[in-house]
Amino acid sequence: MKLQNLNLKQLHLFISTPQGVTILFLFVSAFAFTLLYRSSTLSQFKGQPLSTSYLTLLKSVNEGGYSKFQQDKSELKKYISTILNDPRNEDEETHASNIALYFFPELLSDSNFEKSAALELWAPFEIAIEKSPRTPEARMLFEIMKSNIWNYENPKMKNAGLSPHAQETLKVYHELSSP
Amino acid sequence: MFTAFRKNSKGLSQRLRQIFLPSLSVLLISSGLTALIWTVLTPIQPKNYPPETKNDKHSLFSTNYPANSNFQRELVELKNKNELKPNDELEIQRSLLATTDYLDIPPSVLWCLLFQESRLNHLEGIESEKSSSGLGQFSRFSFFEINYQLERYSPNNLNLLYLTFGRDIRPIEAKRKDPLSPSSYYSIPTAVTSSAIFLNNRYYQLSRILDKRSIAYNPEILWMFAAMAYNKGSRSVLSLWNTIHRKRGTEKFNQFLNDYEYFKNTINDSSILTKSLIKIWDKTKAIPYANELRIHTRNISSCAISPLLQTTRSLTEVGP
Repeated sequence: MKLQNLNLKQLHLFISTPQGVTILFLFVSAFAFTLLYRSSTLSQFKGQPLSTSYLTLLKSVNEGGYSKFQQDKSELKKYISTILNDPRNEDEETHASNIALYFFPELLSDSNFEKSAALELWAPFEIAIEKSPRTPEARMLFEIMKSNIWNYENPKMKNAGLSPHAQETLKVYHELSSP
Repeated sequence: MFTAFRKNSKGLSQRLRQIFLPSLSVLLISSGLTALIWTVLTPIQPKNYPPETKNDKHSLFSTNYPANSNFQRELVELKNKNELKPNDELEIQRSLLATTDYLDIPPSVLWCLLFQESRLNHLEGIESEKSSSGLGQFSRFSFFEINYQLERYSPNNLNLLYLTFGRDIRPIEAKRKDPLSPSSYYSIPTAVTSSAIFLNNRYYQLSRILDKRSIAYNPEILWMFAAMAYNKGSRSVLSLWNTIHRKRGTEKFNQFLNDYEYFKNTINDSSILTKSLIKIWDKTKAIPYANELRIHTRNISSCAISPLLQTTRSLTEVGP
């Protein structure tokens, strides 16, 4: 207790000196500058939580049409790319990988075994649907893509057990392929 | 005479030296060069796990199935209760042997998979509104793959349909009102053929991914992964591969694809299965799915794998 009091007292005395004030000022400035730098590199992508940007793609299609969807998808791609290059933790990496798997498989690392499956089973259909949205051909392609995704995950159908990312992807492309 | 002989032999050895030595040296040099080129051009085999030769194919699998006592007991009960009729069993076996022979599937794997899925009840789900039905518990998306994407994985698939039925019987559906129609999945030859094709497609999907990356694997163990993919999708298998590769390294991953003991132990580890599936689904789904997948794989392995490979005893102990 005595020691603690002594330390606090000494610290207080030190901070009162001109040298102490200078050191404290430098420390706080450096900390603030680091925070500012870190947030500025991510600010254009991290303005909103990851799940919001991901889940708003369907809204983009419904409310803003195809061009808004393209714009938002492109923003999301930049964001996911940043996260995958420098994930803060495993959960964030898993979440970003799942979004990349269904929307941007080319961003996945070559060591990821799921990348090949994605590039074969749904990515070509997504590209084709985006090239000619809201046409009967797009709807036909969507049906193949849907079957491929269901067979790829093969959950129990009665529980609507597809992964949330697969569900969201199918909702978006269902909307985009509606004639 | 002796001198003449010495002269002759001296001449002969000179002639030998003149004729044979140059040709011998040419022969030695050319064969040495050939051996060198041969060695350089021969592709390097994987260090630890050479691929199986065609001669001992399917050696991991039992020729008599079910190999496990649980399924044997259940099979006897089903027959005693007449839930599996002798004619149906015979028809299943006949279709299964023809199909597996054509697609080069280990017969025990397909039989055990069908037993695990439906207990060989080809009419499973006919009276209910279940989403999966028949011998191989087909869903509407499994039907879609057979009906509209038959040739995506192998050209053999369509040939098999022609060979078995004499024509293209698609679209195949769970026809409740006409179960014996060749286009109905409730018909035994149709169900066995379609299920074999679906399993074969899963194998192709997985093998293509490994081949692209030149990763060596034991084809027999890959059939077990294909059976897992049949039950819980290729995604579960690929997620498991990613987890093993990342957490345990390349060497252990190669062992996983090539060493049955290591495969068996890993599949029985529910924590690693859960860790892999949690990357796909949330906890509430991943945990029961992992448990289901573990049981499914354990049952099929113990049913299909030769009992000699399943025992922990030595061969002398289990011998007669």
